[in-house]
Amino acid sequence: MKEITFTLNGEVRTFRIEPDETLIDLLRRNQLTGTKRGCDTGMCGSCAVIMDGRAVNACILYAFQVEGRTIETIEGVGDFDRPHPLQTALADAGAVQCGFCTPGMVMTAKALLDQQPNATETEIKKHLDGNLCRCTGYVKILDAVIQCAAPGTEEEAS
Amino acid sequence: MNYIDFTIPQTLTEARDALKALGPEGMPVAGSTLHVFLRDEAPKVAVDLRQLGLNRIDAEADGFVVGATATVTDMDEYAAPGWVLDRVACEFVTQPIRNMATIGGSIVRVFPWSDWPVPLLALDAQLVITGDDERTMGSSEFFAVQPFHHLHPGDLLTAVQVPALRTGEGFGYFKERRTSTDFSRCTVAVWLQLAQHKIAAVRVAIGAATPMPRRMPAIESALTGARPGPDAFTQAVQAGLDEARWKGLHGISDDYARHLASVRIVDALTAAWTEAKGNTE
Ligand SMILES: Cc1cc2nc3c(=O)[nH]c(=O)nc-3n(C[C@H](O)[C@H](O)[C@H](O)COP(=O)(O)OP(=O)(O)OC[C@H]3O[C@@H](n4cnc5c(N)ncnc54)[C@H](O)[C@@H]3O)c2cc1C
Ligand code: FES
Ligand code: FES
Repeated sequence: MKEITFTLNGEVRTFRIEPDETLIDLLRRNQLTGTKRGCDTGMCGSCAVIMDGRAVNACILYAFQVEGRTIETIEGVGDFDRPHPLQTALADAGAVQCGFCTPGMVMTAKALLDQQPNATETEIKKHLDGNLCRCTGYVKILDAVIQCAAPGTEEEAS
Repeated sequence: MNYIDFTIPQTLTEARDALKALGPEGMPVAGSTLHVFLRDEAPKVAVDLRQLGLNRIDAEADGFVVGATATVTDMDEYAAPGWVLDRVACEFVTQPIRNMATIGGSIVRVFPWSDWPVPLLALDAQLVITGDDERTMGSSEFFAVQPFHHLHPGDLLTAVQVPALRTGEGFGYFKERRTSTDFSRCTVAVWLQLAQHKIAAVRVAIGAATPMPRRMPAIESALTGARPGPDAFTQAVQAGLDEARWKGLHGISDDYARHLASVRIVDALTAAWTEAKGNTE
C-alpha cells in the first residue's frame, strides 16, 4: 500500500491505496457510496465525479491518478437538507425514478454548468451523452438541466 | 491491469529513467481509458505521464504541436486558423472519456475502431518519439505496424505535429456508428488540395471497416491531377476499393463494411473539396 493525497470535497485528505485500485473503490470503501458503479467499464456515466473541474469516470480512473488533484463527489454537492439546484430541478421535473443514474447525471451536468453556466441544449446533450438512464427516457432529465442553465439558452432550448 | 506499484514522475527524464529501469514491467499510463480493452494480466508498474507538462497545444509556423497528454477535450476546445482536429474530437465519445483520454494513449495501441489514426494519416501528421534521442516518424510509417512496436523501454511518444489547413485545402471526416456513443463502424478522413480547379494532392485514410487504419493509395493516385466532382470521386473510389481488405465490426458484414466505406469516402472527398473551394485567399 502507498499513500496519496488529494483534495476531496474541499478537504485535503490522505489515503492508503492499492496500486490497482480504482477511484470508485477508494471512495466507496471510505463510505462515499453516492458514486454508483454501473458498468465498471466507462460506458454508463453513473460513477461520474469531477476532477479539476471536469467530469471523469471513477470506475476506470486509478486511485493513484488523483494524487494532487481536486475531486468532487456527489456528497460534496448537496443532500436532502441542502440540495444543489440541479438536484432540486431533477426532483421537481420528475427526472428521478430508481435514482441510480442521478449522481452521475448531477456530476456531469454540474461540471458543464460550472464551466459554462449558459450552456445551450446542444452542449448539454453533448455532455450528457455518456450518461445512461434505464428508467426515465431522458426528456425530463434534459428539461431539468436546461432549466438550470442560466437564461440566454432559452432560445435554443425552445 | 495488474498494477503492483505506481510512480508519478514530475519530469520527462524521470519518467524515462523509471521506464528504462523497469523494462517490460513498466507501463506508461495517461488517461487509463484504454485499460478496459487491454488483456495483459502480467504484473506491471504504472508510470503516470500526466504530470510531465506534455499537455500543451502550440501553434507553430507550419501547423500545431500537440503534446502527447493533451486530452481529447483539449483538442475539442482548442481553436486556431487551420486547426481541424476539433472536428474529430467532438465525435469521440463520451464527455468524461474525452476529458480523460489523451492523444498519445489513443495512438500508441491501435484498435480497428480507433478514431485518431485515420485523421492523422490523412493530414500526414508526424509523431515525435523521445528516447535516448528524439526522432520524428511520418504517420504512414508509424501506423504501418502496431505503433508500440516502435517504442523501446524508456521511449515515449511525446508529441504529434499536425499541419494546419492552408489556402486551397480542405478536410473531410466521417465516423459512422449506430448510436451516438457507439464505436465507429467506418471512419474516413480526407485531406485535399486544389490548384487551378484540379486536385493537386489528396490523401484518403480509412479505419474501422478495415483490420487496421490505412491510407488508400490507389484512390489517391486516381484522383491526383483530376478535375474534382461527384463522378470523378465515385469512379476513383469504386476502382480503388479492392486494394483494401474489408472487415466489418460487431454485427456488420465485410461486404457492408466495404459498401459503407465506398459511400463515406465519397462523402469525405466531397466535404474536403467543398471546403477547399471556399478556402481561398
Ligand atoms: C467508454 C469508452 C469510450 C471510448 N470511446 C472511444 C472513441 O470514441 N474513439 C476511440 O478511438 N477510442 C475510444 N475509446 C478507447 C480509448 O479511450 C482511447 O483509445 C483512448 O484515447 C486512450 O487514451 P488514454 O490516454 O486513456 O490511454 P491509456 O489507457 O492511458 O494508454 C493506452 C496505451 O498507450 C500507452 N501510452 C499512453 N500514452 C503513451 C505515451 N505518451 N507514450 C507511450 N505509450 C503511451 C499506454 O502504456 C497504454 O498501453 C473509448 C474507451 C472507453 C472506455
Ligand atoms: S460505472 Fe463507471 S461509467 Fe459505468
Ligand atoms: S432513474 Fe433509474 S436509471 Fe435513471
